[in-house]
Order: sequence, then structure tokens, then C-alpha cells
Amino acid sequence: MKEKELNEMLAAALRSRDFDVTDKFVDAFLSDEVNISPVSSEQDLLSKLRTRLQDQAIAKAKASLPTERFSFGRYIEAIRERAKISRADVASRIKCSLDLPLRLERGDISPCSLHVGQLADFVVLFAVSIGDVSNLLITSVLANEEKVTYRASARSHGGVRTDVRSEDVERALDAFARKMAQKQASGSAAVPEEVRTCLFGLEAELRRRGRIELLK
Amino acid sequence: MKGKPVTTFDEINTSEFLRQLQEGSVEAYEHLFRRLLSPLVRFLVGTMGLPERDAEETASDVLFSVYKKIGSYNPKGGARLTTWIFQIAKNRAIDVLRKTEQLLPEPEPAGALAGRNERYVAWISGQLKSLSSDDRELVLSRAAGISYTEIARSLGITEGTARVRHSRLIERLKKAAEEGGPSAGAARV
Repeated sequence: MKEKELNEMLAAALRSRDFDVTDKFVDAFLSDEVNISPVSSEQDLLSKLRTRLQDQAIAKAKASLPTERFSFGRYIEAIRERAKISRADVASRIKCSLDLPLRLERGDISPCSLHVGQLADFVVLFAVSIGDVSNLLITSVLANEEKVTYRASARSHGGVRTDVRSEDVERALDAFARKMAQKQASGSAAVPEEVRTCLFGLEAELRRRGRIELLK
Repeated sequence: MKGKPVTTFDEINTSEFLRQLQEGSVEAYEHLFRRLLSPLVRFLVGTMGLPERDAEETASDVLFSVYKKIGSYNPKGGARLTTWIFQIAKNRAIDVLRKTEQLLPEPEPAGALAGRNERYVAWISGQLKSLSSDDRELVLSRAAGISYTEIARSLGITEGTARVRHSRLIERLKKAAEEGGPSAGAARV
């Protein structure tokens, strides 16, 4: 037998399932400098991996999170925090300004007031179905209306101004307003007009992007 | 990721780093990716025979599947984390190669391309299994193109001993092939 044939057979044996990779083999392999020279596409692949890791983390986080307790912004925030993704990551993924995720989460901006493409970006990133978006938007709109009343009331009774209110106070106010809004919503089945318009546009946008799985 | 970033392969195999991975730290995965992407690509190309373009995608897929499977990794099960990852890469490469072969329905060649002939591979596998684990390690590591220096280090022997022992083992295998190897007697597949 020629040495070339033997080497070919050995290489094939190495590639077969007959032999598991061993600690010694990997140690020797990793110690050989030839095997650790950089790969040209590393940055592209890393960026793809980051996206996949984030998507996976979002899917995991969503699995244990009911939608009915949240406004759209707070729902996004809850998933993001559970998935350990920063607001900067979100901004980078959907190519928006750094403060937009924060303002949306806090309810400073109504999701219905976003450009439909921008809302679709959030919906797609967090893989929220249109049925869930509908509930979240209703809660957002009603909670925001309640919040406006409470803010005005707080100011007229000497409460702190919006720009110096802490995140904790804002969160508590938000939760309270949401609760009141849900109570109110349970008494009537009417979907606010702005939510209906928003959902109509969102559905068309999701169709355009081919994200049919979100139209449930 | 809390604590110091991973800078050597040994640190990847620490329980602290494993804990970070199992907690789903994206930062820890990025470190793992930066450290292992290149060696995995080299392994997939050089050892497993994947084309470079496929190897980069496959290596990336392997590192992503580590994220999904890390919960099932048990360091007490035997292999180190790096070894476990390389085994995943090997299995993935075998799957990729099988798919490629299905797309190429030509008959398997014999002779110089004996590595693609199942009977030849079964014979050499049997021969390798009859060797001691260190000898098998030596022969297979050389077949993977790893230098004598690194093989010797991992086996705890001198480079000279590794060279001599390897040479003897190759001679022994050649002799066995001539006396009763896969090409002896029966017609080639």
C-alpha cells in the first residue's frame, strides 16, 4: 500500500464517527498556532451570531411572559430585561435613535404615534403577534389617557415635575394608570379608533415584509 | 460578563466561564466565539475536509448550537468544554459532508482516494482501535496535520519520541495493509 493511500484512509477515519474527539487531540490542535490565525469574515459572523443569540433570548423571555398585564412599551421592556438585551442593542437592531426605546418603554411616546414602519420594527424584533399587539396597544392608549390625568392632578397638588420624576415614580404611575385603564377596558369592548388605524397599517406592513407568522 | 474576559483556551474550560455560558451571558458567548471561531474553521477545513466558505458558516452554527445545548453539557461527563464543542463541530461536518455526497452520486473511487471507500475506512478503523489510546492519538493527530511539538506536549513525551513512534506505527499499518488489508484478495468496491 502506498503511503498516500494510507494517509487518505487515516484522514477518512478521523472524519468518521468511529472516533470521538478527545481532550488530548483538542489540546494539541489548539496549541498549534497555525490553527488560530484570524478568519476574515469574523466580524460579519459575530454580528450574525449576536442577532441569533438575541432572537433566541427574546423567544425564551417571551415564553414566560403574559401580555395582558402590560402596555406595549412595558411589555417590550420586560422582554428586553429578561433577555438581558440593552436599549442600545435594540436601537442598533432596528436602526433608531438611542432614546426611542426608552421613551417608548416609559410611555412618553404612544406606540400608535410611531411611524408604522418603526412600530413594525419593534413588533418584528420582539416577535409579537398582531393579536397580542392589539391588546398591548389598547392598554397603552387607555393607560396613557389615565396617566395624563394623574400627572395633571399631581402637578396641581404640588407633585414633582415630569423632568425630575424618577424612573421608579414613573413606573409606579404607569402601573397604576394601567390598572385603572384595564378596569375601564373590561367594561367596554370598543377598540379606540387610533388603535384600529394603527393595527390596520401594521398588518399591511407585516404583510409587505412577509412576516405572515405574526398576523395571528 | 462579570470578571476577567477569557484570554486563553484554558479559561474556557473553567467552571466560572461555564456558569456564565449556562446563565446565557451574551458577552460570554461573544468571547467564546472570538476564541474558537478560527480554530473551528481550521478544524472543519483541514481535518474534516469542508470547503472554506461552508466551514465558516458551519463553525458559526456550531457556536450558536452551543448556546442552545449548553444546559445539557456536563463537565463530569468526561470531555472538556472545548472538546465537547469540537465534537459538535465534527458531527455537524459529517452531516454537511453527507448532504454534499448525496448531491454527488458518482461511484466511490478506490486506490489513491481510498479514504472515500467505506471498506478501506472500516479496515483502518479496526487497525486504529487495536492500538493503545496514546498511539491512536498520535497517528490521528498527525493525520490532522498537528505538529509533532504539540502532539508530544499533549501526550507528555519528547518530540523525538513522537516522531520515532509515529514512523514505526505508520510502517506497522503499511505492513498490515500489505498482508491482509482491504485491497488484498477481494476486488475493490
